[in-house]
Amino acid sequence: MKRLSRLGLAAVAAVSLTGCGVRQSDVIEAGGPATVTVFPDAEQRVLLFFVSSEGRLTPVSGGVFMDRKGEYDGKVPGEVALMMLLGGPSATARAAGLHTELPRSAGHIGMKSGTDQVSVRVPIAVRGLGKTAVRQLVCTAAYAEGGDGTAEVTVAGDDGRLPAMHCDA
Amino acid sequence: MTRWRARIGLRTRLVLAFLLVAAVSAGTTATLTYRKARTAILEQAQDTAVSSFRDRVNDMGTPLPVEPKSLQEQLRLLARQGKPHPWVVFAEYGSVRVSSGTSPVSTVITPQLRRAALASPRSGSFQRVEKHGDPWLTVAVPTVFRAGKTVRPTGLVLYAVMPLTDEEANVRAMVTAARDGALPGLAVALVPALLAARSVLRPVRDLRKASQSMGRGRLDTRIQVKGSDELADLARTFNESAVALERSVGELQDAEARARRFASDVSHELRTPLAGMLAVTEVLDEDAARLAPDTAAAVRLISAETGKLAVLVEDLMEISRFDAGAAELNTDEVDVAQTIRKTLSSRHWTDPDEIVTDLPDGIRARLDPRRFDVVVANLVGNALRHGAAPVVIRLRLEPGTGAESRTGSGSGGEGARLVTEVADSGPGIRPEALPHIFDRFYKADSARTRSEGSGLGLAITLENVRLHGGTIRAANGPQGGAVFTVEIPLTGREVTE
Repeated sequence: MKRLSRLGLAAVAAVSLTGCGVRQSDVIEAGGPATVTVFPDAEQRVLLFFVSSEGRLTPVSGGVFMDRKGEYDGKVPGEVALMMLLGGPSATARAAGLHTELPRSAGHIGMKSGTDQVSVRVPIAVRGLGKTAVRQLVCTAAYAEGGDGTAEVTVAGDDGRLPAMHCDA
Repeated sequence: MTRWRARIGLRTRLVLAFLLVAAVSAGTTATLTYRKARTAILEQAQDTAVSSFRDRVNDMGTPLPVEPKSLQEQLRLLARQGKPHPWVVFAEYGSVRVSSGTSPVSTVITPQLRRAALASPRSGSFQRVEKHGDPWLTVAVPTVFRAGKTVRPTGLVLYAVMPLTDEEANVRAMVTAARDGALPGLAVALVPALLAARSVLRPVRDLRKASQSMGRGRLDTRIQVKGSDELADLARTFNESAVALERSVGELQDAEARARRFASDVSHELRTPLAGMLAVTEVLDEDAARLAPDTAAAVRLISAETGKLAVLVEDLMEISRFDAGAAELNTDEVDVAQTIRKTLSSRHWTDPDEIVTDLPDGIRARLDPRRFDVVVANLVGNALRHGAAPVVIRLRLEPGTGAESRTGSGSGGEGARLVTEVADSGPGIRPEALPHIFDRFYKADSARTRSEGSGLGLAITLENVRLHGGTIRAANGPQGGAVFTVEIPLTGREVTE
């Protein structure tokens, strides 16, 4: 009898403890991300990779370019993209909290792109660069010249070359 | 636990058990239903919100890095398309904070949600938050864009914040409905509980009444058997036991009545021939002196035995009258001391060496003089026969509880008793014989199979005392002799001085 009444009490307690109304919840995953359109179009832009205040690699899309004759070409040479990257984030990008971990440099930049391979040469010391800084270089190079970001990138600097890498690695 | 059960009756226990079962089942059902429904309501709201928010965000276009001004325009557009409820939209990109509302940063969005959106930029997430007592739904949708063959996170995360007050109201309405349904349910459960208790308690009550009635001697009591459940079985068993009991008691009573009638008939039949024999033995006794010594001895023996037989028959007839309830009390107000003295002198018990009396004069009581004479004579005769002289006879009045003082004037008060004590100076009565001393034909001394008495003397004494409403006790005195104490209540208007 005593055990039975204890059981009843426990049941009543459980029911009342369940609570009423809408309660808080943990963070619950639901579906995928939203896919937005980024201006300008893929054909006419250059993607530079800077670093957000949280330390994440963040893409920045560069503007429209003219060729030497002043005609609209649409394609941005890879050397220009890397030059822009080494030039640091623009004022708007800085206002949005982006920064670069690469040292500033205005020296000669070389770039050779094959089907699945890209090799770049930058006028800075690369061996001492941090992981994020190397990824800035690799990703910018992989998306340069209309690349789809899957190419294997070899970075060479003033002090030698780094092993080949992928942007998503 | 036992005390607890004893205090709470069967009806209360049954009703409580019914109510407990009803409450538990109603509560469990309500709780389970409520939880399922709440989950369904919330899931629908959440899923709609997340998917419609994602759809709206899919239509957006932005340069990178974002332009706060145009982004704010887009957010305001987005905020108007809230589904299922209007929402406030927030955007976070790097250190840029833009919203469709007045404040660029939400106070409802938790750091956990923000962390989750940043940590896994390829999946949306939501969280229910309670802020100032109101429930909110916060949805985080990170954005990606197509870059080549893959998609890359833009670093822009959009948040929607919407109130869940409608859902909250719906959920509360369900709680109210569950409660409003459960309370009448409990009230309804009370009806079968009381009916069940009644159906159990009525047979139990009947059984108790019948048992009490049987206890009072009404052996023809029976219970009406209804139905065929365990309680009906019990009633049937009770009835069968009652029949068996009535039959055996009846048989016993018949046998006893037959035995008494037989004793009465036998003694009656013996009286007439005995009267003749007594007359003859008297004549023979007178002539015995002239007979040869042997014949004379035989004649005297026959005469003595015939006398004893006559006494036995008289005693048997007396006992039979008591058994038949035919004994009557013819009371008269007498001086008790004088009555006792008369008894002693009529039996020639006057030798002061043998009889010592302590009889205060002036005690008057309403007694049947003949029966009181039999009582005193039997006790004194027994004392002389089985005990040893001197025999002490004491008479006194004993006030009952709450009685007035004996020396005071007036009556002896309620419960005052007349106490007559007869004590001898013999060896006393053996303790094992004491409980049976008033039984018929009981021999206190087993070695003496033939008593001079009839064996009915004390039985008759007991019946006579009882007829007066009194009691008689046998005990051994402190000096070893047997002490018989007769107590007779003083009824009516006895006068004591």
